[in-house]
Amino acid sequence: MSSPAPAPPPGAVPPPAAASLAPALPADLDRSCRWPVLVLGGLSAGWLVFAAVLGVLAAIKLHAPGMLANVDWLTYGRVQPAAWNALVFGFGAPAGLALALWLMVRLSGVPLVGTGTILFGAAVWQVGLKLGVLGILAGDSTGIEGLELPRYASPLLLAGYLLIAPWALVVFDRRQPRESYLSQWYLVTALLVFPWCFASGYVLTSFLPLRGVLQAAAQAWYLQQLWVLWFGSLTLATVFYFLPKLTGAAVPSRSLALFGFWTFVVFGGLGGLTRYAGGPFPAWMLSLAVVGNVLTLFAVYAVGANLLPSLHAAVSRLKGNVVLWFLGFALLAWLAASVLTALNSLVTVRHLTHFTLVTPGLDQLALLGGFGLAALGGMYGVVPRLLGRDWPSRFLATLHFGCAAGAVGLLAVAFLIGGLVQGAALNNTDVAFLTVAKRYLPFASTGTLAQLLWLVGSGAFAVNLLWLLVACARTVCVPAARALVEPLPAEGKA
Amino acid sequence: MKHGPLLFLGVFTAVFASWVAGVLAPHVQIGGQSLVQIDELGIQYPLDRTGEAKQGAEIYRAQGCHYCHTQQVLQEPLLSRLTLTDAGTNIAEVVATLRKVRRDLDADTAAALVSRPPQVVLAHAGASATDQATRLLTNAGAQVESTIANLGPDLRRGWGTRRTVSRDYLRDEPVFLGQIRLGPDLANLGARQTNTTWLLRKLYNARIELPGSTMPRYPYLFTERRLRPGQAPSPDALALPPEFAPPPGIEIIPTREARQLVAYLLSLRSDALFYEVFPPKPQTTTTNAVSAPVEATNAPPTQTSSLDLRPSDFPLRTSDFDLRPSDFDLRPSDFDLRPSDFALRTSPLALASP
Ligand code: HEC
Repeated sequence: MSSPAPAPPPGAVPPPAAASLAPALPADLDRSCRWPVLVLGGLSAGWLVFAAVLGVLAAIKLHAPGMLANVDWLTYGRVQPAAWNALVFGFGAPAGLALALWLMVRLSGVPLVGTGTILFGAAVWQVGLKLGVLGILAGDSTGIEGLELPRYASPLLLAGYLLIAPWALVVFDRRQPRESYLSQWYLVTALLVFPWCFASGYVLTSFLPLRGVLQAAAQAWYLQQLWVLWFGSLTLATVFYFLPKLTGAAVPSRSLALFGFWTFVVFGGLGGLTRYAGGPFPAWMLSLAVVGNVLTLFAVYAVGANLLPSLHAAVSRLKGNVVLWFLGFALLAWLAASVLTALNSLVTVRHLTHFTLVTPGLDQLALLGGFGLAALGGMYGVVPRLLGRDWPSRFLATLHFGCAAGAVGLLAVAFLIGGLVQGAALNNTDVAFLTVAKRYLPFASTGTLAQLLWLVGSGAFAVNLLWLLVACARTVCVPAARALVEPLPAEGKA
Repeated sequence: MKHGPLLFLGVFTAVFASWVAGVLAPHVQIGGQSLVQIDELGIQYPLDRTGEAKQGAEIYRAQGCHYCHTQQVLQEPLLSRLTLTDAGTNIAEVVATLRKVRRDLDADTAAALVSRPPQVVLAHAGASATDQATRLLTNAGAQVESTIANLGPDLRRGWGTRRTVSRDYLRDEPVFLGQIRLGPDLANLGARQTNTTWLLRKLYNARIELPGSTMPRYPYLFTERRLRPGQAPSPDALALPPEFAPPPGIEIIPTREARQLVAYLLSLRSDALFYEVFPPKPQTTTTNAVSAPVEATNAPPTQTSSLDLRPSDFPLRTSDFDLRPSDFDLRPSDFDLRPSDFALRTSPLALASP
């Protein structure tokens, strides 16, 4: 791969004396990726809040069908996908990329290259996503769940991604100790999977659409890759980096980790079609999906067995560590989501949970609880290192964790129980449909509360981040500005 | 692990394999499906939508109705109920045949059943068991009728008369299968609801037709028009009950989008019967009434060969055959499935196979 000379990070603070020659000082590494990571992270924080606002709106619309009904831009069928895309592509993917860049640089021991291209890619991505979300709100959605971005937006996202992600692979390729880490394997998986599933999903549904239900098959495959191999890999990469660091206990079994990784990669992508269990597809497709989901449990076991003991041992020692809270919760949520997904793919369970709130419940548990908290925890760990300054408000960080964990727990419990209630009512044909709706609505309303909590937490995070950035800007800018203006007034006053 | 390239290759292979299994193989298998020629009606199923309904599908997409409504009817493998409706003249033969079909019956019970039709002969039988029993009994001179035994919640809710299959969606672009049922399934809405005004009112405010409904309102698909004094009301105006009606002098007119959407909703039906929707898996086990699989010993030798090859033996390869759904009794309305006709006419099909 070609590698242009590393662009000097704009506005870099001069390195501390004597740090210039050493090959892999963490401070150098951090400086090399400071701007890309901060820009991607900052943008993702903004989208996090925006997506949460849309999420609250969508949740309210479910139980207040008359609210703002006159505004076509805000109808449920548009706000819901807009919120999803804002969360997945506004917060999720950029935050994931930011962490992937930082982790890759840190673990590979070589500075980031291609900073300018990465920043350009981030801009392209943002333009595409803004067009896309506005397009969805305006009614231009493609109509395929999870692949809603209109044709004028989706290629921009892919282009943006291709300007950003390859640099992480370049860094991996140049890694200084040739030995590589578990986190890096997961990162490589994530980085390879995303462009593939994104391109396959969008091309086969909106550019060269397959016929009939095959579009849904392509969509199910895409969603599975996105959820398991992209978000799942990023979650595990983050968790496998930070948890051993924080607890000070190395991953106990390398072979178990290796086994877990490969079972994850091989079986993780197969389970997509359980979304359409019993639907108009050849029967073997569903059988394969069930097998895939169940076999992924090996990976779940391997991850749990490798990480849970050290987490358990460290909990009391690291009571005050916000990063650990986030990552510990993320690990538990990921494990729970994976086990429940496997359970949910079994025919007897599916019979009850199909077409119910269980589907979004599990999706949210994995996305918000697993990936979301892992990425946020990662941010809490990374940003202070990049800026050389700690978070200004511990209270806000604690508040964020409380709200986020509470939101995920509430949402998961409400949607899982609500889904069972809904499924039982749907299967009981003596219950009129309106009664079915009345039975699931209280749980959907609880979802509103959860979304509100998530919004408060996200707001706390955004404020904390902004505060930190402003503080840093002041320490950098105020002396500089003073240096600029001081001579004149000094003369005048003298 | 020091081998970056191996890692790349491994991940690549795994993802590629799952892509082949999840996307490419289904495409190879059913991507070439043809429309179903139904000669009796002179149509190709699924019917092409009118231009208005096609634009309505765009409105459906743009409003995101599919975030609450599915368009797929589920049903487990089909089981039939076989009823003896008329014993014919040769009672003894029918009784003997019935005892072949139902080994658990003694002579007296069988005779009692035959003497007082209609009687349920098989309660939950798989496709091939029903076919054989039908053949045997009709050969003996009796008349039987077969109906669907396992309706399943979707069918019992009236959301369809059969499960939906991949061919039902051949004309859909995009396909609105849907993943969650916050509202009822709409795959067959056009079959159960043909009233344009009802649908327009549902869109204007779902609570007009169903108090307490939680479906969102779509008032922006309608325009308010002020009547000049003395002006006659427009014939297009939506008739509304008093509590939902606008103030006097104002009328509610459906926009073109609303009419297109309703045209689309009316076009939603997947209830045509054809080859693919009948024989599910070759499942001959029965859940209660039949104690042993039926033997085909009684069948004339010429038919035995065609008995061996029945459509349910190759459910996945329908496209390999010159498929003539017109051979099957097509009764979408009352869903009166007659496996007898069906089974007997598979022989040309079987012969045509290599
Ligand atoms: C927030 C979820 C939601 C959305 C979005 C939604 N619906 Fe509904 N819909 C429902 C619920 C709940 C019912 C059942 C209560 C009722 O019949 O009013 C329903 C019922 C219906 C019915 C009556 C079905 C029957 O069998 O009687 C039709 C027709 C319908 N919706 C069409 C639409 C159309 C067209 C759209 C898009 C413009 C749409 N719905 C969007 C929730 C929704």
